[in-house]
Amino acid sequence: MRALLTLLTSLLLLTPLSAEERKGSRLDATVWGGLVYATTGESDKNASPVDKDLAAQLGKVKAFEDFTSFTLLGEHNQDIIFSDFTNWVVPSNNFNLQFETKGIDEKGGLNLMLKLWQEERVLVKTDATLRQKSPLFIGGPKWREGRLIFVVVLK
Amino acid sequence: MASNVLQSETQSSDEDRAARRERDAELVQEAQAGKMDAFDELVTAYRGNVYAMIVNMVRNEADAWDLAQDTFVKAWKALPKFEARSSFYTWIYRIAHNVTYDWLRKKKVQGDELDDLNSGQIDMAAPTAPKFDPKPDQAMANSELGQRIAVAIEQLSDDHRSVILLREVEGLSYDEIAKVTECSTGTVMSRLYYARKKLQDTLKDLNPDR
Amino acid sequence: MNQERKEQLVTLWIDDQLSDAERAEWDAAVASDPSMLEEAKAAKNTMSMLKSEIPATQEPPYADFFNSQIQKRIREENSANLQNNPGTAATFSLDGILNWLRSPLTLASAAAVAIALFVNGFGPGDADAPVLASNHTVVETVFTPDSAINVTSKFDEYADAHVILLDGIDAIPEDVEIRGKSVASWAPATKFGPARFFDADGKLAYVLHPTPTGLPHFLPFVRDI
Repeated sequence: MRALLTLLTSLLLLTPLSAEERKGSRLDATVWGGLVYATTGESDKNASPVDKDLAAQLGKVKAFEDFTSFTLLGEHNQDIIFSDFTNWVVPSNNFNLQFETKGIDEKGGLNLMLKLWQEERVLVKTDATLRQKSPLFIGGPKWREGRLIFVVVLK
Repeated sequence: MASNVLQSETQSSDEDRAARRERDAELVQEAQAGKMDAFDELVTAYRGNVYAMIVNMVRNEADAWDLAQDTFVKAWKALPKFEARSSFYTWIYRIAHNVTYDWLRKKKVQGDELDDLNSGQIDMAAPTAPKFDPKPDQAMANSELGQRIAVAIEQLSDDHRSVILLREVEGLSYDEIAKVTECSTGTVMSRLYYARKKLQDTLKDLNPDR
Repeated sequence: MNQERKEQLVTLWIDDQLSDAERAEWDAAVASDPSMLEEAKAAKNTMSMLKSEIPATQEPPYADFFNSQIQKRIREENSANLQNNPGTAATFSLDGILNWLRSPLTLASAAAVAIALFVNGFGPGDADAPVLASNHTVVETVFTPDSAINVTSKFDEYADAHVILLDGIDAIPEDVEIRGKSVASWAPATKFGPARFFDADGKLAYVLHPTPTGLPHFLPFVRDI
């Protein structure tokens, strides 16, 4: 019985969303979320460097100016945004972003209610309007020789 | 002399309660007519009681904040059905009680569901295992006595915890508790008896008389 | 006297709610079973201790913000009702809501919230903050449910980004591995299954099954099925 349950669950998990399931109001927007490790010491060998422009912007933030490297621990390019469902940006299962959209404004900004989670704890809730190429940086907890930063950008 | 003082204190607290009820009735009427500032005044008057009750039930400030918000939003939506002769005070407690109970029930279900989900998966190359270990807010019970009492209350069933908090902390009468918890006064009294007995047993070493 | 009646009398005695007739019943019961009074006194003492430790009221953190968030939710629900039922009246009259928006109390509350946000480090942290161009990301409200966390939020002109800083969170222990993946697509949770996240090759990266109370719960990984 357990084996059958596992098989059925696995089939469901590996099957992409059907056309029926994809119904619902989709917004024409892409949100990129990244979990960045900013450090003064050695960067994580398992991680790739952050995009140059983004790294330059991060380095200009006063609170981050002492960090010498910014590496990307995980990223999620979310190109399907539903107005009817709760959306998740999950570059990592340790830190992820939940959001509900309140639609797109006349200037093309995406109105959101965001929650940043650290595992099962809400770190911060915010009402924001994301505009294209104008990132939101959320400075999180310290880790090893640096700090974790969650980056959200409307592409 | 002492009994005169007690009598006049009781009288003044009865008068305060009557004045409060009158003010509530006025505000409810205005809120039912669409005046949000009247509703805002009711929120301000009762948010302390509602938040305290919920935080004592769920033992977690973050969730209590959300649930207290839900309580007032539900109250706003249900205002057209509120009858002027009822007590707003009891009514808002009932909504808070139901909102909290629904949440506690879901939490229990999710505990069972998580067990099912986890046991149904083949754990191959698992990343960090999912954790579900909600801790009560440690900051709430500062003294050692407070901590002991907080733990003892947490060990009560939801029904017992609810009646104890409504009676001992919020000071509601048996009838009011019966309205809030939607059961009979007989059931309220029976739950109080067993909840007190359990608390007494758990905390008996703290009691100087035994 | 049956057990149920004894329990009722004990409860009434603890709460000073015995009527004259019940008082006589109580006295008789205690005369034949003095342990009833002992237990009742002990329970009453315990209840006094409990009352002294647990407050009957406790203001929610950021109390003004608490009120303003409720108002915001009500406004949103009312405007959603109007959109869905344009020909019918909202739950409460729009006039009533507009009057509330214009009322001195609302304006005072909004000012109080703005001040509270400023003092607590929310919102623009700089009184001389420039007026933002309309092409910048804007953060309207910021709130942390954890009173140990200090939040600041401001648009950083030099970095050309909005920055929210959360200070006071416990550092993550060094031995804990924080890993992520490169997620390229996802499928939301439906009644048939949880939310699924896929990498660029279409392989399953994460499975997320939020709990009924909304906590993100990631399922243990299933690979190579």
